[in-house]
Amino acid sequence: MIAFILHGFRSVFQGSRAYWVWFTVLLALALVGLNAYARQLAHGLGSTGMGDEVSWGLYIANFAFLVGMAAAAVMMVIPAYIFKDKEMHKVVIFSELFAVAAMIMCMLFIFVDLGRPDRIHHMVPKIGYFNWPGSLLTWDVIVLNGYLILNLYVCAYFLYESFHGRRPKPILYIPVVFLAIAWAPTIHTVTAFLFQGLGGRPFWNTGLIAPRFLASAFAAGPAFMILVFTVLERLGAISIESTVIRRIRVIVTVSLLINIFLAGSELFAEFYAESAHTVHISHLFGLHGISLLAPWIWASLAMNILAAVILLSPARNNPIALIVACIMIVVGIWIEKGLGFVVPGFIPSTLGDFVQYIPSANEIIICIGIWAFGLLVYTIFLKGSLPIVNQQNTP
Amino acid sequence: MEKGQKPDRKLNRRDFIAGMAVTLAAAGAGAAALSPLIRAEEIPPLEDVLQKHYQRLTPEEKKAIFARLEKRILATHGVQATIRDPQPLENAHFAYALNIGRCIGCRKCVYACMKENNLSRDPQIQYIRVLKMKKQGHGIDLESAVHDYPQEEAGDKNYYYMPVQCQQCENPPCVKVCPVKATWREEDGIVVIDYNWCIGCRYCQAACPYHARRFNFAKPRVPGAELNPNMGYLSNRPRFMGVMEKCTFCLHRTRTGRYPACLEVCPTGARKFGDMSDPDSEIRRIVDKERVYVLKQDLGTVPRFYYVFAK
Amino acid sequence: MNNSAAGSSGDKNWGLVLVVPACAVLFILFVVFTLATSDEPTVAQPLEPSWFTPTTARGEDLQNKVMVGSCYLCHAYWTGLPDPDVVRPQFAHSAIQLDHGANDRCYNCHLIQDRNKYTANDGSGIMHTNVEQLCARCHGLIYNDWVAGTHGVQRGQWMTPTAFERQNFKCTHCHDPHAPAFKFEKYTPPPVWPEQIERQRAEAPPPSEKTE
Repeated sequence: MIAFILHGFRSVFQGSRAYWVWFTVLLALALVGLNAYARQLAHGLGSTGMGDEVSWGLYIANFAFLVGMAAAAVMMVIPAYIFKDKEMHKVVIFSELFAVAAMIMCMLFIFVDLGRPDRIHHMVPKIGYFNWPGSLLTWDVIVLNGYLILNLYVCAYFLYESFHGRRPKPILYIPVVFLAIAWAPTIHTVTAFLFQGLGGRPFWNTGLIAPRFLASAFAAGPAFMILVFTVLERLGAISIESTVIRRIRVIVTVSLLINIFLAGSELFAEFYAESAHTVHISHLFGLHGISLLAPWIWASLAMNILAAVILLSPARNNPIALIVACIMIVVGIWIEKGLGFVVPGFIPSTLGDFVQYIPSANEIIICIGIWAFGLLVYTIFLKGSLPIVNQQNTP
Repeated sequence: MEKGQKPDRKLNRRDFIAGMAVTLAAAGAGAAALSPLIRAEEIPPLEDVLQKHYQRLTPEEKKAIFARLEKRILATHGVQATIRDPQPLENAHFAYALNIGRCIGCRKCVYACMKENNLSRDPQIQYIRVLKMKKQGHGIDLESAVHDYPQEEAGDKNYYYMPVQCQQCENPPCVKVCPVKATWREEDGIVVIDYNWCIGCRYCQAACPYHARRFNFAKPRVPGAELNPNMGYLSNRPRFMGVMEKCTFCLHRTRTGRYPACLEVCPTGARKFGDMSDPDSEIRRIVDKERVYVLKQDLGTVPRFYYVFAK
Repeated sequence: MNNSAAGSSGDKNWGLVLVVPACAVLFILFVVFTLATSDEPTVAQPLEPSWFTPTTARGEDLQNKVMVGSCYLCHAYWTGLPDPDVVRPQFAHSAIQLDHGANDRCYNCHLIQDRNKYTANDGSGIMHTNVEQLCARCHGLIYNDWVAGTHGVQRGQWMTPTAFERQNFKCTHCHDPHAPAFKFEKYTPPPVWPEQIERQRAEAPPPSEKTE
């Protein structure tokens, strides 16, 4: 056990110049973010761009996006464990590690959004007063923590056994993997329910939100993993068969098409009916008054459709085109979840007030800091686990 | 890192020292990053952190807490306040009626509420929002309502003025979503918040269909000279930074039989308040006799705040 | 770069070279920045008392009343019947602008025989303290509402409303009997949002034009 930890320590602190530059940049950004958070803690959430009208902003938007990314890690696990895909099996640990890192980021985003983080213990059952099962937020706390623990266990057990040169015993981790597979959609579904259960916000109160969340997550998550694998392979850290990338690409393509279809279905229902509730979506697209969101949502829509075109055309076999498509998917869906979903639910306010949302610099720095911290954690995980995984793959 | 590299089990001293140096440097910079906290505007005392939920407090504990809070108010605002905790009246069922046909949009209720409930002056927090809507346009259409009409535009006969505040729903969505039960509906129908229990997640604000909840995005500021010393624990005592607050129908007044502040200040008599369970009450007469409606009836929130169209 | 076999000796330890100076620089930056920024506590502006002080619409007018109750000063000596065609109030009353709809004769309300009183239906007098009885002659429905408490301004106790605990206001507290349309001019300013909040006036596009 000590040897395992020592090895982790050693391999994290040894690396090339590129590794350390990357490490230093992330660390510095995370520290700057921490500094910004300390400022927010000292002066209140008024240091953000949020207000009584738009009371959730970038934090919750990033949270919703990252829950999807974490849930999407399971899409890589399914082919590996259910369809017994050997090649996939090799890389699946990396996406599980990403799920852990994404989960940590999710919790940080929730934490920085709280007005009274010093009272977080009120959420702990028994000590506090846990409004379960009434509040969907308590469901979210349960499923997110559960998912984190499940993935941590699978990763730790798998790596620990591999480190000692043993084959992990299936009975000790395969059931947990299947539980995690079943668990993954729930984290994103519960997060969607968080929004779609609110009758007072017609923009969110539609049954399509959960399926849309899942579809967009299953496009963005694997697309992000394609990027990670490509970078790792370029760095010579891993070698993967092109079949793996191709398989992930199929997942991304199908999910993206479903996502576009669901979004289109929603747009049709809203715009054709022209009910009083259409005002949110027409404001989002810049059709009702001045909207700061319109350029973003149009860009997101264009990116998603362009990516779909690339993925459906023969250009998809070109690695560069694939990378471009993947970047467009990740960015496009990030916009769709945040500026295209969380924020427009608040504009106009429930009393019809059109208050725009402009995140403050401090708020953006905190977001960048959390992303940097999450990527730093993921980098450290990868750095520690790569030698172990590679050792096992080259008997 | 290369493929086929064997994990190294040993750790030499040099690497260890280098690793520790990196860790320490990061920790040091992390500590410095927290330096803005020395200017923190509100540091919760330990007794506040340990305080239990309102509904789990014994009468003795409540007494001690009220005394502690009064002492703190004396220190911060220089006012000897009295914090009371009036309990819901038996069989009372509070309701409010507002006659849109009469409201002239003078917004005096807004400021009387600020004064009575010790609402933050800077940043400004107001429980009541008065909407101005053109009569011959879309009628009661929220999206075309004006929220910040200048005072010269009040009293215009071509417009409706509709004040909106907490509707004290029978079936309040805000209570349902609160993850820590920091807000609940009392026996007499008033939805209250324990300011010492709210964690500030603002989920209730997202759930409220009436824009009735206000969040303390900064430390609330009320000049000591203007502080209303007659305080209720669940209503108008000074709030903390980072917690939610809302209209409570002035429960420190109404539970002792007085009218809410917004009603008393209304020069038109458009506001009526009372106990629905009393068949002779004013509110009962209005609901029985007049054409009343509630805001966003389709949401099933069952507001206890009735709007009236009458001369 | 594979230095695990050979150990890290001989190689430059990039971790130390990069991270430690970066952290040192950040350390100094954070401390300097914190010390350099000083926040001046903003002083909360007090509210204008007239914004929240309860007043009736004619509160100030009533305080300045000089006529009520002292009509005998003139009318004790002059009780001649007036010309029924005169609509404009004369002499001391010429400032009065009568704007009471079809009710445009002074003696519909004022008792001719006793100017301190108002006219009841049966020709007897109504004391000015019971002015609501006069108004009730025409505005019976509103009078009923007023008696029940659903019309008019109230202050005091909603519970056990006895005459002592409840402040009830009469018709003339809010309505000028000579021009009874409700008038109130003491309006208050709109809410303000924090500077960083970007708002637009929502009135601009009516919903029917939104699909343009």
